[in-house]
Amino acid sequence: MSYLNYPRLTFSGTCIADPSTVNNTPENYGPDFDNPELLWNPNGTGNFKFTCTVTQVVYQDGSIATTSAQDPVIGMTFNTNDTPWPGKIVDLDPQQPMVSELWGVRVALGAAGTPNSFQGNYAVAPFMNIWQVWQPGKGSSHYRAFYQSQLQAVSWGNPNSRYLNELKSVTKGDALSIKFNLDSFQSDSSQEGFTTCRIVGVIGPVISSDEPILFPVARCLRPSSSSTLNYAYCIVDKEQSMIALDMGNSIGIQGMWQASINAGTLQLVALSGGKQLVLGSVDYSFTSNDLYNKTAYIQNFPLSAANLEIVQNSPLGIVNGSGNILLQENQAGTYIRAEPYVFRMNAGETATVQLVATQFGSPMANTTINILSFTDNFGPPVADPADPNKSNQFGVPTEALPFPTSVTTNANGVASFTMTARDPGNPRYYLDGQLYGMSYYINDPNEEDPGNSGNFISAQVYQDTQFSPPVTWTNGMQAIFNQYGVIYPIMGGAGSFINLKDYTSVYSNKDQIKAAFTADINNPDHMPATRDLSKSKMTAMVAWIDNDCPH
Amino acid sequence: MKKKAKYVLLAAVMATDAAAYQQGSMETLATTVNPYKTLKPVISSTLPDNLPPFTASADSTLNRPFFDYFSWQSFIALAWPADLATRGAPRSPNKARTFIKSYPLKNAPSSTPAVFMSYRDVTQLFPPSGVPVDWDSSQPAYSPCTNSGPDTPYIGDSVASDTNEAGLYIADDSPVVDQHSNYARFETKFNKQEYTQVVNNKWYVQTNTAIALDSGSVEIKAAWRKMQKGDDFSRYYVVNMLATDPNTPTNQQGLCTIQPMGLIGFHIMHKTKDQPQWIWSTFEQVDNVGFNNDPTKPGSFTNGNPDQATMQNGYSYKPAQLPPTVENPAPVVVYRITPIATTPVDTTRNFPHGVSTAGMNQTYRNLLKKTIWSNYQLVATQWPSQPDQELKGGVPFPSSSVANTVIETFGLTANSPTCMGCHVTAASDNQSRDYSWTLAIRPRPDPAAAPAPAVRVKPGHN
Repeated sequence: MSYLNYPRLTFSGTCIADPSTVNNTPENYGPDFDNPELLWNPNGTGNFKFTCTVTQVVYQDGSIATTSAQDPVIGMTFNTNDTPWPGKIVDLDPQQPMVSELWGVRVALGAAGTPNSFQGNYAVAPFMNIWQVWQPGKGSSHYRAFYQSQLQAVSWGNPNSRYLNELKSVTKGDALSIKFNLDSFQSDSSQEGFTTCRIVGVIGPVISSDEPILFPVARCLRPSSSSTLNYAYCIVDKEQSMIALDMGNSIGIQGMWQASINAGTLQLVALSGGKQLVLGSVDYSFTSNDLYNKTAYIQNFPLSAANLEIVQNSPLGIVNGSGNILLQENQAGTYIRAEPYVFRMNAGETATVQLVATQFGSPMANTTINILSFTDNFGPPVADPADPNKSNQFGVPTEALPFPTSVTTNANGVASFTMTARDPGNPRYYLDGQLYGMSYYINDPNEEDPGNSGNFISAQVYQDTQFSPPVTWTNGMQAIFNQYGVIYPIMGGAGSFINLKDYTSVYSNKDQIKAAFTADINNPDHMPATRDLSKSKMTAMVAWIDNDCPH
Repeated sequence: MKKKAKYVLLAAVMATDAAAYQQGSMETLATTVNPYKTLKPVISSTLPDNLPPFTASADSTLNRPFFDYFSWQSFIALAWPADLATRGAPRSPNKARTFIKSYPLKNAPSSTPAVFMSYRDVTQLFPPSGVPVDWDSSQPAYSPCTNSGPDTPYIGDSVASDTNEAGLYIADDSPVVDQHSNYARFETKFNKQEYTQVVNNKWYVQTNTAIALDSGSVEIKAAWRKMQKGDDFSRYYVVNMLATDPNTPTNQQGLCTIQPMGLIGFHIMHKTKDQPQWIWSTFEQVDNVGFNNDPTKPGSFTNGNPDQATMQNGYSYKPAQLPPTVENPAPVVVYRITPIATTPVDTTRNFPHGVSTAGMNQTYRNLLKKTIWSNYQLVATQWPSQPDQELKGGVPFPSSSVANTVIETFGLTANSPTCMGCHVTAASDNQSRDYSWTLAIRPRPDPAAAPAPAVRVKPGHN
C-alpha cells in the first residue's frame, strides 16, 4: 500500500529549496520584461536538497527501535545526493505554481558501499495539501505541504540492520514508498538559513508493483470549512486489525521549527449511526518536536474485531474534546485520485491519466467517474497587450487537449483515459501554450475538493512554434535565450556565470548548452532547469547550435 | 650580431616550412614538412608576449603545439626565481643554472620565491580602503592577515586565502578537500601591466566598467595545499606562506598562520596582441590524481582507487560552501575524466615524445628534471581559434574538457565548462570586464561616493 505500512522508517532534518522567483510573475514574460518583478529570491538556482538522520523505525511486528544499539540504522544519514548536481524544484507554469515538482532528486541512506545503505531516485512528484500551518507567518515561512512519491532503482548494500533486511524483503522490486512534510521555509534573505526548511518524513515498502506512486490507496479525512486541521489519510489494515493514520500535515505549529499548537484533545472516531465511536486519541506534542521527529505523526490504532467491522463501512473522522468534527470522510466514504496529475505536453504527444476510486478504502468497481474542465485554480490571468480590457482564458482551445466526459472503473477501481495534445497556439499572448485542468467526481462536482491543487489534473500544452528559416540569433533564438536570461538572473544578470542574453556567451558555451538541453529531463543537469521549454523551441535551438549558431 | 643572424636564419626556415605547409594537403604535410620542428624547449626567464610564428591550420588540433609551447615557456618564466629588489622581475635572467640551482629536489620547503609570487595579489588590488598601492610602492599593502608584517618569516606576497573554487560561484561553488582533509587554497595575482592599468584607470571601483586591458596583461591563479609530515616535499614547489583560517570570509581579515604550502594547480591567462580573447593555460602537479611514485602514497586528491563507476563525474562529492568550515571534512576523490591531449602525434628532434600536450609534458619535465618543476604538467591550453570572430568569442578551442583537477574540480564533467566559456561572460554586456572575473566581482564602491540606499525586494510571494 505505501509508507503507511510496516516496516516504516522516520527521518528528520533540514532541507534547502532555492527556487527562482522571477518566473512567478506572469507579466515578467511580457509587459514587464525589461523591468521584471524580482520577489524574494531572484537568484534562486532551483536546487532542492536535504540532510536528515534516521530517528525511528517500526518493524513488521509493530515493535519500535529508537537507538542505534537497537538497530544500526538509527542515527544514520538520509541525504540527497547532490553530486554532480542537486535535484530541482520546478513550477509547472507561472499561472500554475501550486504543483511544484521535484526533478532529478537522488537520495542515499548512509554511505554508498557500506552494508547498511541504499540509494535511489525520487520519482517526479508535486507537493500536496499546502496550507498555512502557523499564523501570523511571513512569506512562505508559514506554509506546510508534503511530497509523496517512490524511490526507484533502489540499490542496496548488504545490510545487517534488522529493519533494512525487513524492508528489503517486503518491498516489491527495487522501489520504496516515501513521503515527507516540509515547513518552516526561510524566505527572508536577511535571515540566517535563507531558503532552508524543516523536513520530516517516512519511508515504507511498496506492497504492489502497480500501486499508485503519488498517493496511498487510503481513506481521506477532509477538513470542514471551519476546521483548524488539514487533510489526513489513513489505511485500515485488516490483517493486523488496526488503522494507520497520518496526521503529519494536519496539525498547526507554533512558529518556524516549533512544536505543534495545543489543539486540545483529538480523537479518531468512526461516524456510525449518528454516533462517534472513539477509536483512540491522536498523539501529538505541543511542548517539543521529539514525537513529530520520531513518528512524523503517523500513528497506529489497534481495532477490536467489532470495530474492524464497523470502520470498513463507516466514515472516519477526527473530533476535538467537544466532539466537534474537524476532519472526516464523506458519508459515502468515496475518494478519487488521479495519477499522474501534472503534465507537460507538446503537440502530438499522448499521456495517460489513471483515476483510482475507493470507498472506505476498498476499490470501487464499475463506477462512472465524471470529468469536467476545471481551471478555477489557474491564474492570475494576464491582460491582452493589444486590449487591456481582455485577459487570457484557460482551457481553450478545447480541441488542443480533448478528454472524455466520463470513464468507468474496472474491478480494481481503476479507470484510465488517454489525452492527445494538439497545438494550442498562443491564447495567453506572451506565455507559451495553454493550461488545461480537469476535475473528477462521482455525484457532486465539488466532492473531491478540486480547489486543492493536488485534487485536479493540471496540464501544460506547449505551443508548436514555427520558425521561419534561416533560424539565426536575431531571427528566433535571441528572443528565447533572452527570456531565460531575464527570468533566471543566474543565467543573465550581473555576476552570472553564463549570460543567455549575450550571443558571445551563448556561443562560447554552446557545447555545454546543447548537452544540457539534450540531457534526459530526469537528469538534474537538464536545461532549462524549469523544464518549461517546448519541444519545438528545444528542437530549433539544438539545430541552431548544430549549425554553429549563426548570428 | 651573431644572435640576430641566428634568428634571421630561423625565420627563413620557418617561412619555407610555412609556404610548404600552406601548399600541401594535411595528409602530405605530416610526411613532408613538420611545422613543429622550430619549437625548442628552453629554460628561459622570458615571458613570451606572443606565439612563435606559424601558419595556422584550419584544424585547430594541429595548431595546439604552438599554444602548448607558449604555455610551457610562460610557466617556466613565471616560476623563475624572483628578483626581490624589483617586483615582478626575474633574478639572473635566462641563466638556466640559476633556475636549476634554485629549485633542487629536496624534501623541504623552498627558500626561493618565484616571479609569480612577487606579482600583486587580488587583495592588494581591491583593499577595503578602495585605493590600492602602486605596483612599485614600498608601502605595506593590504593583507587578509591581521598579523602580517615585515618580521613575519614568509616569502613573497602570497597568502593562501580563498577556499571556494573558481566557476559557477553563484550557482554552486564548493571547496575541494585533499587526502589530509585540508581545504585547497587559491590566490589570484596580476602582472605589472595589468595591475598598473587597473590602478591608473581606477577599474578597482565598481562603477567603472567597460574595462579594456592592453595586450601583455597576465593574471595568475595558483592553487595550494597544506603539506604535512609524510608528504614528499621534493615533488612540489613548497613555500612557507601565510594562510588564513578557512573560516575567514573572502574580503575580510583574519588571523593567519605560516604553513608549508605546496603548489598543486596553476592557471595563466595572458592577453596577447593577436589573441584579444586571451590565451588560457592550465597546469597541475602530477600527483594530484596520480601516485607519488609509490603505490602506497596516492596523490593529493585520490585514494588511489576512485570508484569511477559510481562517480558520475570526475569527483566523488561536493563539500558544502564555506564558511563555516566542517571539521575534518571528507576528502574529495578526483579523477581526470578526459585525458590530456595526445594529438597531434608528430615528433621532432626537440620533442622526441611528440608535440601533443602529453608528449610536450614529457619533454619539458625531462628538461626540468633536476628541479621540483619537473613534477608539473600542462593539462591544456585554450585559445581563440578565430580571434577576428569577436561575436563568437574568437571561437574557443577546445570547446570542452579542459578542467583542472584542483582549480575546477567540479567542472570535471563530460561536457565541462571551459575557461573561455565562463570568462567570456565577464566580458559580456552586463559585465564588461574583459574576461576577468576578478575585475567583475572584486571591485568595491567608489570610496569618494555617498553610500547607496539599500535595495529591497518584495517578500512574501511564493
